[in-house]
Order: sequence, then structure tokens, then C-alpha cells
Amino acid sequence: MARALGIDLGTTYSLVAVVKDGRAEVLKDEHGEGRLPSAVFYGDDLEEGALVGWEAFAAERMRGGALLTSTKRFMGRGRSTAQAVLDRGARTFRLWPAGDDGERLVQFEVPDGQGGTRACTPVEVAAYVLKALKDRAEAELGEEVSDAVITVPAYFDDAQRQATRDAGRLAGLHVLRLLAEPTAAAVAYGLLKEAEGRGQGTYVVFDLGGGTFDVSVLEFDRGLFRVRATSGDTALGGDDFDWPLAERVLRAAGVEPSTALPHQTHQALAIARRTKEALTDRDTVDVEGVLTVGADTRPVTLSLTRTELERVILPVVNRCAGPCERALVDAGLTPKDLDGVILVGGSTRVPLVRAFAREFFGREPLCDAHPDEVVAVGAALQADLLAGGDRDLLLLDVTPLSLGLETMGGVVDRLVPRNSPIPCTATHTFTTYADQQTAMDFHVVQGEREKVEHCKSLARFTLRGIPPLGAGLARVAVTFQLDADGLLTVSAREQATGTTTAVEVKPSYGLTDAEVEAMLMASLDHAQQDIEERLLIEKRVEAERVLAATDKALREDGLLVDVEERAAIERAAAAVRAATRGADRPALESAVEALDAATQELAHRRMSKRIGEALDHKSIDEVAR
Amino acid sequence: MSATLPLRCRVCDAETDGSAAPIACPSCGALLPVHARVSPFALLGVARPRFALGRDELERAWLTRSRRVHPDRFAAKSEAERRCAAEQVAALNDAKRALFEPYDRALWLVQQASVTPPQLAQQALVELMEQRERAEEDAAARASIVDDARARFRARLEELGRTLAPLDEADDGYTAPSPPLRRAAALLAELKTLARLVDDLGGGKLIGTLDAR
Repeated sequence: MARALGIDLGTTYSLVAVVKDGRAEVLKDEHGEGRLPSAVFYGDDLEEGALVGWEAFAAERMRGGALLTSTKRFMGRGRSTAQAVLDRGARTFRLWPAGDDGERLVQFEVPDGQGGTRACTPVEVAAYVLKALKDRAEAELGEEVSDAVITVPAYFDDAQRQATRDAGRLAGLHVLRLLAEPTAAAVAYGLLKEAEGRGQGTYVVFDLGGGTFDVSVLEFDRGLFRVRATSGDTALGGDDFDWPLAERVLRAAGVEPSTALPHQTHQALAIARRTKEALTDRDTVDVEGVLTVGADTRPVTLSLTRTELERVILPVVNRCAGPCERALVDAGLTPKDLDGVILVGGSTRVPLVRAFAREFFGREPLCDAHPDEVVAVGAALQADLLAGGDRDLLLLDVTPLSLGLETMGGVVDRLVPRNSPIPCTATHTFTTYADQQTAMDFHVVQGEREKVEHCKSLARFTLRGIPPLGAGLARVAVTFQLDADGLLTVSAREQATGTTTAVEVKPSYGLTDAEVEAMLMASLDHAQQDIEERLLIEKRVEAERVLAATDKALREDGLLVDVEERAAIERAAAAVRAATRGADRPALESAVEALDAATQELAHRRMSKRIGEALDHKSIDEVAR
Repeated sequence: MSATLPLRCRVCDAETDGSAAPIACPSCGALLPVHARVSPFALLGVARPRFALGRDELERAWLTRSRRVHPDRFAAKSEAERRCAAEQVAALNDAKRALFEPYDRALWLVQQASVTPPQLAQQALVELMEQRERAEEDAAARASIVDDARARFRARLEELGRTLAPLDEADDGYTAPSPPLRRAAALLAELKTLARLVDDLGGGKLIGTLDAR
């Protein structure tokens, strides 16, 4: 069976885990460290790409260049988000001058390694981090691995998810699924507790990372994980604790924060972070560090008490209350209906954050999950399942944000309400308003507010090819499809004539498909490979996966099929084996499909056998509204 | 309702009736697509459209079927098979969204029978607008106005159940416009207006999909 990775692509740190012998394990670097800083260094004299992780930090201290950190904040977001960070004073990067469609892309200015500069997107930075994790896993496993489940904040919108998926593709990964971070954490936690015989109930996952906050209400019961509601803030995290402290460090060294150079800001942030971490189990600390000012290296000390720290971060921590409230209301629950509150994310180590969770939910939070590793572990478990592993696990997730279309007067017409189970679809029918009209424009938005300008613009698209009829006679049914990754696709059909009309989607933020293709072509890994050849290889991998699953099913549950059925399955499997040796992709495709069909009944019987009893116990309490 | 909806299996080419929302082809076992006109009731295992349904019953049907068709179960299968699984589970989730709340379910039944919801009576509209104004001017009266609107919402919902009960029992209760369905449409208009009033006054959403229409 092909292995698949579980990757937690975090704001400050990223991790990779994989299932080995049925157990998920975080893969460590040569120093035994699982966390890889989500940092990329572009050196002035680095012609060959960039340095990632701890190396990136080390390189920044030694040589000239640009160190990019916490760029997850800018995935799938507009230029004004990045500008706002610069305006606030945290000048860790330089923006590339805006192009024609200024707001659509955040681009950083980085050295091109030949004495000049070039533009670089957050997607490219994320791809470097993902590639480093892929390399780590391949070195550890001694084989090539390209399948992966990548986690995203549950509250990520379509553009942010799309950007993450694009980063995976650029890193040479085949993204099996984008999985919500709190859902991944719940899977790891729930399966752990299940092994102890306590895997049932309704839980809140409180996930405060470096840059994002998620809160999800989930039910779990013997391998079934069901998200009831999710909420969050994709611009709230431990990073927000650091900047006010870093400002003090800069002032102490005589540097005005709003004019600090990127490397000074990085140095100050590092001292701030160490101070915050030291105050986790102490009441007062003096943290020493250095700041480079001109040719000088100035020693600075940040002295702080926990009370002072808490006074500084309290307003940030209190911003968690709104999302927590919304998640509970949407789930139709109150804190006393919960069986537990699970803390996830490095920032939940901060005592004030724990105190907040304790007070808000009226109970002692559970801290027995490893806050840094639990998300990657959950992702690896899901990856293993998707790669054909046998695990009684089913995740039913929801879309975090409502999806709508702009109508007259800039008002949002909501098509899919938030917290709807995904995948799902929504269809709206539109009629033409002018005679001979052959095109229509649409604006898709995501968010909870009534007015379009307060929601996130996802895309504008134009329908073309509407048959020219009288006004109101052509009726176009537009279908929105949200897949299991929470990603949106749009299709349209004219109902009177049955014509499929073309949909040209222009994303409001992030890369267009053409830009991603161009980046793929430009990267050396892909340039030489013929597309058709790649598709054939992918098909073969898929075929082998199906064959392995079939063998396993027959071996374990051979008694569930009769002699005839078994013969049919074996014939179909032999046909697939023969086809994998050829180069005829369509033939291989239909052989795999025939094998799928032949094993469908067996798969169904196996599933009924294993999970039948779980459902008999299942009872969902009626929730009073 | 009883019209057959022909579906063709992409693997063995056998034709099946899709009206009962079958999951797999009966002759070869391949996963089937979902017919575009299949009823959400069929997807949730309810033989005939009806208004009176328990939440538990719908929830259980949704979970059972989700377990069978979820795309995660087919991740190692062929692309066509994965597409069918995605289509199956999307249709299932859409059916749940359409039927889970009594208000939405009644709306589906009314629209299905081509009954257009009438406008709210002029008098009722004026009364609602007055209440809204009163609540906006007088914060003390607000809570009682919200409570009152909620109570009326519950009463109208119960009346909706009584109105539709005879149709649930008839074989073809929801196939054509009828006086009970017109009455139901009027009740739905009032329910929506009450829900809007409560929501605007900060009393929360009585109808989950209030904005989706």
C-alpha cells in the first residue's frame, strides 16, 4: 500500500506524521525535533532556491537576504492584509510593488540570488515548507511519497484553502484532502481515548495556534466524527501576543518599531517569544538577547512579570469569546452539554489562555493531547485511511462560512448557510433580463454579513454561450459545488435548450489556474515530465492501491463472498494487473472500474459487519431550540 | 412521485429506476450517480413525502447513508467511482438541509405542489412593523415582544402540523395544489415574518436557513 503523509502546515511551525505499523508517528529531524519552523530564507547569493526551517533562521544571522515567517497569515488574502501588518509596525518583510490587479495578490520582495530582487507569493513560501517536510519523510521512509493530507484552519475560506492546495501541488504533493485542524486533532484525540474505552461524547476543540484560532464542536462515537459547528478567526493567534513585547525590545535598544529593519524585527520577535514561553511556568523573567543596530550588536534584556504579560495579551485572548459563543449557539448547546474541552495549538500553553478556556466553558480543559503534534497525527490517520488503510473512521465536516451571491443593491443572497455538512451543492436559477442576452455576470462571496462589502469576495465569473432568446426566456441554472475539501466549483446550464454555458471564474484573491500551471512548469521537478506520462503513473499507483485493498479484503473477509463472487473478483483483479503492465490509460481505467464494481458488494458486507452494531447504539439527543 | 427516473450504470450499462435513490447498481454493484430529480425524502429513506417526521429518524437515516457513500470510503477507488460518491453524499447533505427543519420541509412540500406562497396580509404586515418600531423605541418592551413573537411562531408551527396531517395520510397528498397546502403556504409566510422579527430584535434565528431564500 502506498503511504500517505499527514502534514500540519502551521503559521509558526509545521510537522509531518505518517502511519507506521498501524500507529501514527511524527517524523523528527536529525536533532530529534519534530517541529519545522515555517520560515524560508532567500539569500542574496543563494542561486539555488532557498533555505527552510531552523536553517533559515541560522542563515539570516549570517548573511544578507530576506527571511519570511508567518506567511500563512497571507495565504489567499489581499494585499491590504499585508499592508496592515506593515502599518502596525511589524516590518518582517517588504512588499513587492503592486501590479495591475493590486489587491488580488500578496507578493513579497526577495533576492533573486543574482544581485537583484523578484516577487514571491505566500503559496511559494508554503511550497518550500511542504517540500522540506516531504523530503524529511522520504529520507526517513526510504521511499518516494507524494500523497498527503494537509490541514488548514477550520475557519479558512475558499481562497485560503485553494492557496494551500496550490502550495501542495507546487511542492510535488498529491493532496488527498484538506482537513480542518480541529477535526484532525479530534480524530487523534478521539481514537486515543477510544483505545482506552472512552471514545464517545460531545467535545469542543479549542485550537489557538501561532496565527489562527479555531473552535469546533464535535461529536464522536466509535470512529464516527461529526462536526456540529465551527467558528474562529483566521487572524488571531500567539503571534499577536509577541508584537507588543517586541516593540518594548526595540525601544529598549533605541530602535523605533515602525522604522525597524526586517532583521531587527525578527530579532526582537525572537526575544519576545522566548519571554512569553519562559513565563509559562514562572512569575517573573529576564530574557537576554541581542539586536543589530548598524554595525553594532547591542545586548538587550526584556524583564517582565506574568501579570504584565497578561495585561498586554488580555485584549487578544478575549477575542476568542465571540467565536466560542457562535460555535455553541450554532450547535444548539450550552457549556454544560459538553463532555470535554480539548486544548490544541502551542498558544494554549499560555496560562491566561487556559484560564480563559476554563472560565468560558466552566470546566477544567483536557490537556492530555500533545498540543503541537495532535493535528499532524490526526492528519496522518486520515491520510492512511484515504490511501486505502483499513480503519473504522468517518469524518463528517461542515463549511465554516456561508456562501452567497451578490444581488441588487450589494446585498448577499445566501445559497449555503454556514455549518452545512460538506460536500454539498446549491442551485439557483437566473433568467435573462434583456432580449438576445448571451452572457451574465456573477459575484460569489463568503461570510455572514448582509452586505457584499463586509463579506470576503471569492470570485467573479461570467456565463457565456446563453442561447439568444427573448428577455426572461433563457433560464440558467447555476450550481455551486462544495467538495469534501471545502473548495468551491461552479457550473451552469441553460434549461430551455439544455446548453451548457461556459463559466470563466476569476478569483478575487490568490493565483489563477493559469498562474499555478505556469509555476508548475517553471519548477524543475515537473518541466521534463510529460503530462500524459504523469497521468499514466498516477493511474498505475491508483490501480495498485485498489489491488492491495482487494487482496486484503479477500484475505480477511473471504468468507463473506461465495465461490462465484470470488472468481469474478479474481478475474477482475487479474485484468487490472495485466493492464498496469501496458501503457493504455483508458484501458487501465476501465479495468479498475470493473474491479471496483466487482468488489462493491464485498466492501459493503465488510462495512456492515464492522460498524453495524455501532449504529444501533447511536442516539442523538433532540436539541431544544 | 411514483414516476420512474431511469439511471444507467456506467460500468455494466444496466438500467435502474433511480426514484428510490439506489446507491449501487443491482446487477454489477458499481456505485450509481444520483438522478437530478430524485426526491430528498427518497434519499433519506422516507418512502413518500410527508411533513410529520422525527429529527431522530432523519438524523439516523442521514448517518447510515453517509457511512455508505462518503467519498472517504472511495478514496482508493477509480476517479469515476469517487465522482459518484461525491455526488451521492452531496445529494444526501442537500436533502438533509432541505428537510431537517419543519419550516424548510413544509416549504419544500408546498413548492413541490406548485403552490406559490402568498404575500402576507396587509394588516399583519402593518402590525409587525408597528411591533418592530415599538421594540426599537422602547427597550423594556423588547423582551416581551420577542417572547410574544416566539410563542406565536410555535403556535403557527403546530397549526402547520395539524393542517398537513391529513395530506401525510393520503397517497397523493402533495402532488397538486389543495386548500390545506394553500393554508400551509400562508402559515409559512407568517412564520418567516415572525422569524425575521425575532432575528432583527436580537432573539436568534428560529429558522436556520432564514437568509437562504
